[in-house]
Amino acid sequence: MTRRSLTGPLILILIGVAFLTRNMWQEVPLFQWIAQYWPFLLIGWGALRLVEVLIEMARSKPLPSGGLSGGEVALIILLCIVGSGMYAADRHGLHLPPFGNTSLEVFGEENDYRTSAQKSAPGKVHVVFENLRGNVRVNGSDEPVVKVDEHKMIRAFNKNDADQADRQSPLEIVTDGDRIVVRTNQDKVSHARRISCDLEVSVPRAAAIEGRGTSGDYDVTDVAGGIDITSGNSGVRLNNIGGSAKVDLQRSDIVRAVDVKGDVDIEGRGNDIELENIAGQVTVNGSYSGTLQFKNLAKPLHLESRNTDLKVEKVPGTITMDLGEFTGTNLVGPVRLITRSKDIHLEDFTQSLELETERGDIELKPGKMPVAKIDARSRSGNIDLELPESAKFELRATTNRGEVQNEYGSPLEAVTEGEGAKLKGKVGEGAVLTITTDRGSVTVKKS
Amino acid sequence: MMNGNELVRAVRGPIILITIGTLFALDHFTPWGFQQTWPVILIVIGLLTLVGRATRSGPTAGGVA
Repeated sequence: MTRRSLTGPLILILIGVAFLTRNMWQEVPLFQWIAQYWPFLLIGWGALRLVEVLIEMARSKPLPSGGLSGGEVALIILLCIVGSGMYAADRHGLHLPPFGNTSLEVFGEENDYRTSAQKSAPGKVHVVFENLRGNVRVNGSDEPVVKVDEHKMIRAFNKNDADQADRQSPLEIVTDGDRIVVRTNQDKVSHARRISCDLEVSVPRAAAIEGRGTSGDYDVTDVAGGIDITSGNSGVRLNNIGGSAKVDLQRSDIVRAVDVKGDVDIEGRGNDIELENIAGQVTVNGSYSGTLQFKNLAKPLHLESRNTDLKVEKVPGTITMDLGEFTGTNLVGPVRLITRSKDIHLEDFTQSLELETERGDIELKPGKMPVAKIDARSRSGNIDLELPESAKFELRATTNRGEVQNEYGSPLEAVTEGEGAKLKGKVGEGAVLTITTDRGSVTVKKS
Repeated sequence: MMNGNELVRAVRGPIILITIGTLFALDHFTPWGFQQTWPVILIVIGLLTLVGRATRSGPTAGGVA
């Protein structure tokens, strides 16, 4: 009798579960899960084989040599290649079209329905939107009413089916405790039917807004309360908001907030982020593959992603960053930036700067007096430092493999040491500037 | 009759598999990239070979010819 491993059937079951998840719960970010967690499949597989070998041994049966068959090795290599590819694609924001997501209804015809509803809402109100699919545009107004214009799109093969779906999903504005809930009832329609609702909403200016959905953009303008948006695939644009804004998106093409009086808290994954004139604290936590732009932030900014950790006390100027580059101008320190691989340009920063990059060139121009304390380190990359003529500082620059260029002149002195070199010197009594690269050149000059 | 060498040979594949999986997991969830940690695989294979030789029965255990 030949021994059969459990891994074959188990892999089959796993693939089945994955496709079933995709088909039944389309909102589950399966691609991201697989891209991130596939290494555990290898670990589990190895552990399973190990247990099998131990069981064989306990039964005193002959042990397989090598432990893995040729077919398995081929499958493992394939898994590594596909998994790494998915991981890279996921990190860089490329997403394959979700398989199994295209229902037959794509071929049906689109039917439009328009309706509107309104409810009086005196005073401060909390408006909640429950709209699975579709865009929501909210404008604050002086009238004490919540007014909703709905444009519903239903895909169906015939008009009767569409009409039925329309009747099953009436637009509702209901009061629930101290909240007003705007509901499009898409979940009452059969899963297979494609339905989406675009809402044009006018709310009293004092309102707070809460949005829930799986796909569709949120656009909120002139609202004095807080904003809280949680969605699957969405873009969010906020303009002139009096309260704090919290945005949690599984995937976003853009999150833009302009003129926000409170804190801004962004979580999730996506492409671009644009924040401008924010009076409160800004926290960004997630992975973003596009361009991130911060302009005029009055309070601390904290950004944490897989590859970057950034803390800045205030941003009176701008910060622009994408996957390969970080540019910051006019920042109030302490500034702390730890990143994996980026070219970094920083100009006019105060207090202190702590900088670390694994791969990438660093260009620093501390234009403001007194010169900020600097501790910059690159594992591999050139570092350029441009100091104002009247600056007072103590420089300790080191390259472990590379050369130093002293374009500043005396009193800085260069010393060659083995494969590397050092540049040291003191001009008056000032901050200590420590600059280190493991591989690359260091250049210091006067601006 | 079971011997240690046979056992080492049998667990070699699974252990290498677990090592590779762990390194990729480290790559995804910690700052240790696969491009830095891959030599661990060579070390594990080397260790397994050494242990296999040490447990081999007979006087032929020894270095490379």
